[in-house]
Amino acid sequence: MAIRRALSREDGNLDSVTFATTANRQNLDIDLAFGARPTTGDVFKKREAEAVKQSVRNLLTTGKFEKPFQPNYGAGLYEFLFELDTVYDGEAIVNNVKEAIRVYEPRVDHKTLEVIPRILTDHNSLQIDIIFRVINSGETVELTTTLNRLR
Amino acid sequence: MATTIQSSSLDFASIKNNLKTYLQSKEEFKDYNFEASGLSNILDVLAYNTHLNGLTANFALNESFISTAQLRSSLVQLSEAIGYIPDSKTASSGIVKMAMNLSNVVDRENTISIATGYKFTAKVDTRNYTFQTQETLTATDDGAGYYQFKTLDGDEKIPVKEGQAKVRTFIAGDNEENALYIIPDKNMDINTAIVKVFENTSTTSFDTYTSIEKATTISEQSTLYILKEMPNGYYELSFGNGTTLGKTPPAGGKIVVEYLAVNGAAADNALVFEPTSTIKITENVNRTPVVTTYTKSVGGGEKESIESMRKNAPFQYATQNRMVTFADYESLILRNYSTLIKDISSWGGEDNLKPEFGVIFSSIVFENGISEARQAVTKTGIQDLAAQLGVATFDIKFTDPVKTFVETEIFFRFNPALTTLSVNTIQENVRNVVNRYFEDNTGKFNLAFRRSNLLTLVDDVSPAVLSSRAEVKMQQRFAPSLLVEQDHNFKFPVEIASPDDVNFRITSSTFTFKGQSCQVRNQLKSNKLQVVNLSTNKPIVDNVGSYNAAAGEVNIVGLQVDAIVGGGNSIKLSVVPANQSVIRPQREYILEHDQARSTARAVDTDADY
Repeated sequence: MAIRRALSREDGNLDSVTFATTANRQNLDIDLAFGARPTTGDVFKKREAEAVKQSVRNLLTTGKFEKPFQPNYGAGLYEFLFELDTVYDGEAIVNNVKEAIRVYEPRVDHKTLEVIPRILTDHNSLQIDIIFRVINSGETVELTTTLNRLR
Repeated sequence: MATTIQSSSLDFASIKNNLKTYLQSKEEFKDYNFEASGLSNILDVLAYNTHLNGLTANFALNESFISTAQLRSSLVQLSEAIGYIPDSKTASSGIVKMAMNLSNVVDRENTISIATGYKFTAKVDTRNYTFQTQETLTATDDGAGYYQFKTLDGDEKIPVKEGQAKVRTFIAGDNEENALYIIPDKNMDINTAIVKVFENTSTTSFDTYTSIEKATTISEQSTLYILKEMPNGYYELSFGNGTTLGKTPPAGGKIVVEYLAVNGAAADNALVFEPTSTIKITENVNRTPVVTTYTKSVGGGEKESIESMRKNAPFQYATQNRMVTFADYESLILRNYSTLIKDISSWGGEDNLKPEFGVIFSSIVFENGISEARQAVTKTGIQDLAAQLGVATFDIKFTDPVKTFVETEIFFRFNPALTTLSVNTIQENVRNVVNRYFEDNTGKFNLAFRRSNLLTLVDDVSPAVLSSRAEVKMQQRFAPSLLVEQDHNFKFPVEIASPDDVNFRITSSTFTFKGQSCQVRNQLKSNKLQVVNLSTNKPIVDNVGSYNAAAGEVNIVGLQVDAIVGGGNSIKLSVVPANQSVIRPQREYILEHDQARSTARAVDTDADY
C-alpha cells in the first residue's frame, strides 16, 4: 500500500513524492516432505505462515555443529535428551529456542514469541509448545514439538 | 612452503551465494535467504557437495606436481618419475683408530684380521647405539707385538657406522615378471646396501651389483640395481631388463641384500666407542682392541624432507647425473653429501675475481660439529666424484666461506600517544624484528640484505612507529698477532662508499697501541688509512694502508696491535657500502648480522603521521 505525501516548496519545490511504507514479501519454500503434486508431479510448496513454521521446526531439530560451516546454527534441543529430570532446566531450553529463532528466523515477531516446555512424565517425553506471530502476514502460529525416546 | 593451485572456488559461502543468485532469477521459491528454511537446507547440501568436489579436485591437482604436492608419498613418486631418488635415513658415522699390544703373547700371528661388522656401543645422551665397521681390517706385527689396524686402503682411520645389520634374501622370478623386491624397513640406509646375486640357491659365488646412481655407463653386461623409496615409506629393489639396461638376476637365482637399519641424526655426537666383543688371537688368547676416537659421530640424517625433494629433484633432473655447469656441481655434491653440508655455492673459474679457466670453485658451509679431518675427507670425496661425473676435465677448487657481517643503526619516529607500550618495549620489539629478519634472510650463500624489506618490518612493529630509516655498514674481522707489525687484506662483497669530508668510511673496533686507545680509520676526503688516538682524535700512525672503494678492498699495511680492548681475539673492521640499500653477496660470501654492533633508537614525536 502506498501513501501520497506532499513536501514543502523549501524542500525542493516538489509537489509530491511517493513513499513506500510497506513491502509485500511472499514466503515460498519447498516442502521438505517432498510430496509430489498429483496433477503436475511437482513437489509441494509451503506458503506464508506454513513456510515459517517449517523453518522453525527445522531450526529446533538441528543441533549445534550439525550444519556445515555454521557451527552455531540450531537450537541444540537434542543436547537435553537423556538429561535427568531432576536437573531438568526449562529455562535453558526456552533460552536456546528463543536465541536460535532470534538469530536465524527473522520472520518471527520476537515480542510475540512464547516457548513453553513441559515434561510428560508418563511418556518420558519433553514437549515444547511454541507460539509466535509471523511478521509479514500477522498470522499466529502454534507449533508443538516433542522429544522422546524411540524405544 | 609450496604455493598451491586453486582450480575452483572452495569457499562454502560463495558457492552457496552463487546458488542463491540463481534462485533470485526464478519465481518458484523465495525463502532461500532464511537459514532455517527448507530451501536453505537443500542449498547447504548442494553447496557442501560442490565444496567437497572442489576440495578433491584441488588436492588431486596439487598432488600431481612437484611444486605443489603436500604429501611425502606424492613427492617421492613425482621425484622418482624424473629419476631423482630421495635420500633415505643416513647412518651417523664416526672415525676411530684401533690397536692392540700383544707383546706378552707368545706364538702370535704376524697378521690379525677383523671381519667386517665388528661392533661398538656408544652412548648419546642416555641411549646406547650400535656402531660397526664396514670392511675387513688388518693389523701387522711391528716386531714388538704392537698391531695397528688399517682399512683395505691401508688407512689407520677406520670409519664406523651406526645401525643394525639386516639381511633380506629373495629368490629371483622369471625375467618376464619384471619383479620388484620389497624391503619393508623404513629405517634402511640405502647407501649402506650391498646387493649380492647368486646364480642359484646352492652356490656360494656371487656377483656384487652396484647402484645405478654410481654408474657412468650402462650396457647389457652392467650389474646394476635401483633401490628407491616406495610411496608407503618402504624400499623396493629392481634390476635391469637383461638387455640394454643391465643384467637381470637369473630365474631361480638368490638375491641377498645387506644393509644397516639406522637411527639417523639421533646417533650423532657419540664420542666414546666401546668394542662389544673380543678378538681371538691364538687358541687360548682373546683380546679387546684399544679404540681411540678420531672424530665423533656425525652425518646421521632423517629421510629427505619434502621441501628438500621439491628443491633438489628438478635440479638433479637438469644435471642428468653429469657435472657440466656450476649448478650441476652444487646439485650432485649435495646429493652425495647432504647430511654433512649445510650450504654450497659453486661458480665457474671465469667468474672468479681472478679468472681461472678450466676450474670450478666451490665454497661449502659444513654442518655444525663436522671436524676438520672429516671436512678434508669429504672434499677428497667430492674431487673423486667430480672426476667420475665431470664431462670435461675441470679442476675443482675449494674456497672457505667468507663471512661479512652487517651492522644496522635503526632510527624510527615514535609517537607514544598511539600505543600503550613504553618506548623501551617498542625499541626491544624493533630489535627483535631486525634480528628475526637477519635469521630468516641471511646466513646462506646468495642471500642478499635489502634495507627496504627490513624497514617495512620495522614500520609494522606498532602503529606508534611512524617511519624509520637505517644506516648500514659491512664488517669483517681479523685476529692480529699482538705486538708485531702485520698486513691484513679484506675483500668486501660490494663497493665501498667513496671518501668524503664529513663521514669516515672505514672504522675499526678499539685496540691499544703504545698504551693509547686507538682505531684504524680512513682520513677524511682520502682513502688513506690511519691509526687514530681516540682521546686526542689525532693520528698517531699516518699511513697504515688504503682502501679501494670500487673494488671493495681494504689493505692494512704494517699495523701493530698491542692489545684488543674489550677482550676477544679479533678486531672488527667496519665499512660503509656505496649502496646501503642492498648488499648482495656473491660466490663465497655469506652475510650475517652483528647484533652487538647494531642499534635501534626511537625519536619521539607528537605527529600522528
